[in-house]
Amino acid sequence: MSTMSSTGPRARTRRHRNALAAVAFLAPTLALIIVLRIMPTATAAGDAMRSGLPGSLAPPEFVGLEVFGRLFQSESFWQSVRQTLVFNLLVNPLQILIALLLAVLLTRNLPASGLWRTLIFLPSAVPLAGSTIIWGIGLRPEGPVNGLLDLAGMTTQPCFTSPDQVIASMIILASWIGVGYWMVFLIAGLKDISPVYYEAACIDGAGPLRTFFSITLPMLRRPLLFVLVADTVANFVLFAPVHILTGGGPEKQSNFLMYDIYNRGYQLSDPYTSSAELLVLLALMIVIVIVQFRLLGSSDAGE
Amino acid sequence: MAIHNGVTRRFAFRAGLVALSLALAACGSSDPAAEGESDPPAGDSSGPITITYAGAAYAADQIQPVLDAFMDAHPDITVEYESVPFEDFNSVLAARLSNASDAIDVFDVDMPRTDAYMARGWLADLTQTFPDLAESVDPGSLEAATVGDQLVTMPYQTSTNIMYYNASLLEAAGVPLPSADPAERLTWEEVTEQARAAQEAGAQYGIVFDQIDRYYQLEPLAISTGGGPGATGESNLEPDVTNEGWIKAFDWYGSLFADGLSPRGVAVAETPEMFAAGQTAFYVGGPWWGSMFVDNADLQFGVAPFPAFEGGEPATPTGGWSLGMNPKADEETAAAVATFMKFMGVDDGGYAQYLTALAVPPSNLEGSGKFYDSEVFTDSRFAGVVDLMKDELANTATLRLQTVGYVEFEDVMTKAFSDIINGTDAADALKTAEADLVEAWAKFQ
Repeated sequence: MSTMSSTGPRARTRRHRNALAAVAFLAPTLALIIVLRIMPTATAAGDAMRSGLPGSLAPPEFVGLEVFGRLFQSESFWQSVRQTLVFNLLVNPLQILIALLLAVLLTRNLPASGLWRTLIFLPSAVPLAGSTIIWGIGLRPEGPVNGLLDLAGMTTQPCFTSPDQVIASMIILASWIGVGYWMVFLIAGLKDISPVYYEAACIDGAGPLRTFFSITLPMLRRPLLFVLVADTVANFVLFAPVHILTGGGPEKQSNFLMYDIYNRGYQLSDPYTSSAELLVLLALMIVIVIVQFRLLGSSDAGE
Repeated sequence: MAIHNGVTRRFAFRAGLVALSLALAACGSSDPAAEGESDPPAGDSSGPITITYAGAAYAADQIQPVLDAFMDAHPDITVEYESVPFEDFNSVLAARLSNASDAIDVFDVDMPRTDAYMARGWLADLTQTFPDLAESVDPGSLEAATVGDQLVTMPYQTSTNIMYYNASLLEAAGVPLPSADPAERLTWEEVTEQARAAQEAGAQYGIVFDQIDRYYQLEPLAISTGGGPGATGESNLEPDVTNEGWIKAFDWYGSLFADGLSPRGVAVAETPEMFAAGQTAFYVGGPWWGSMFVDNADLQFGVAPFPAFEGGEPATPTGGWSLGMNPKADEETAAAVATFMKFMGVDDGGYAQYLTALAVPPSNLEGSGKFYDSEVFTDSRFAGVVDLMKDELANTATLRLQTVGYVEFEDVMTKAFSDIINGTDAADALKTAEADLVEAWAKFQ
């Protein structure tokens, strides 16, 4: 009988109204997605096929894929790609591992755990530019960190001024901000796990390690996936520290794609190469995010 | 809330002005008197107009007395000043000139970028507007304002560099105080040795360059070793930064940092403090820091010529700022901008007379007198500086590379200099720079 009523005229009106309501509710979001996401990407794709003298007010000419051709022949572009990948392969797992450890630690019944959480979260409340300047001064060759190393009788470190240490210094800076932020999401995820599972594991005689790997980690997969993807995206487009502290140096070791895109687009007034490079970055991020979904999201369907 | 209101009000004001100027343009566009005069038509006769001036040379409060004087003399023209940090200036101009035809009417032009801005179509031709400019400004400034045989900017400010020394630190090291006489110019080799002696006797730093990683101040090093300005060829589009002269100059510059005579990891803005605080034996910099140093009564300093390499020719940084006009400005606006340019660069010695303290010499010959008479130079610690600066501007001043690819050139060179400062071998850094320049300049070939 239910099939009869669902095709009846009254049901059809109701469905019609439901569809209208859905469209009305979705419209603002769709409009924003079109205006803020799809249109800029389309503009970038259009710009990437054009070429003109830097900053010239004359209309650019259509050159097809020539801009990409030039970009792919550029040694410094490939170095940029390499450095971006190296940085992200190091910083993302590290940040998430530390955030996870802290989240687990701070959901135990530690004394004053609220205070610790606040303290660890606090750096992400400071604007990125502010943290950048603080770390820039802190890690400079004659800055306070080196002063402490010197006091402790250790050799001082060049940090941001050395091609060998600049990525590590960036990782410290980015993690100081990121770890607390992502920790909050993981704490929320941990609190969502029903205590029943832990009780069961306890009764079955599982130790803390076994509990962590068999209960906590699998139950945390969804928040972990979110944190991993969001963190990766954030670090792929990390810009302020490079802009403020290193300008892509020393020896182009911190010339990540995002900064190179800015530099070409604005400092050198070449929006065409910049747009082409932007599309490369976008493609790279999409591929990596798809891989992450595959790795962590695959067994969701089986649940 | 207050900000909101202000913005809205300004917006409404702008919109009103646009409507007004459109109406005016419709009425007055056929006025034949507006053309072909060396004295540009003032906006006076055609009603009030507002022009937007984007500047990187002066902070808003520094330039305000000049703008006030201009608006007093030309009550119908309002100048709205937008101060833009130097680091962001190119990108701001690129965005505001390319995207919004009337957003900026007049703007500061860093002299070595004149060719590049011209090629980009950012500059209106001023040849007809100011045919007699040669009588008013110094030849270097005029050269910097000219592309081919077109005058494209109004030069208003130039510059020179001197070497400050901390007398107390040098005396403590038993180093004789250098003379301000250009004939007794020290060599970089001598300065290095003396800086080392001063550091051993207690100075924190031996020698610090004001513009620590900028071509403006480092080009003279390569000129002095015979390495040239960095490019050759017809339009200066063939990079030439790996010759013997360049490598010699920057091996030396890198050694200052490797030996700890100069500090690493310091931004340009932080260098003057290091001398003002009395920690630095030699400070190579602009006369514009003079008032800051004079204000510190305990700082015993003196001035000497910008050194040269042993056996090399002396060369000193020069160049400064011009004003450019947005070629998209309508007739009314263009006339008002021309009036403003003339006020800044020509009328009665130019803008300099309205500033309380002058940091650098104006391009205007009459106005430069006021600079040399500045009270700051009467301080006994500045003895000899006026003659020194006049001499340098007349004899050793070296314009930066004039090329359409200057923006790319400066970007690449700044990075190379940073790397050299941070310990990269000069020959390697310059080789990378040369390859980057070939790539960056390919589009101009």
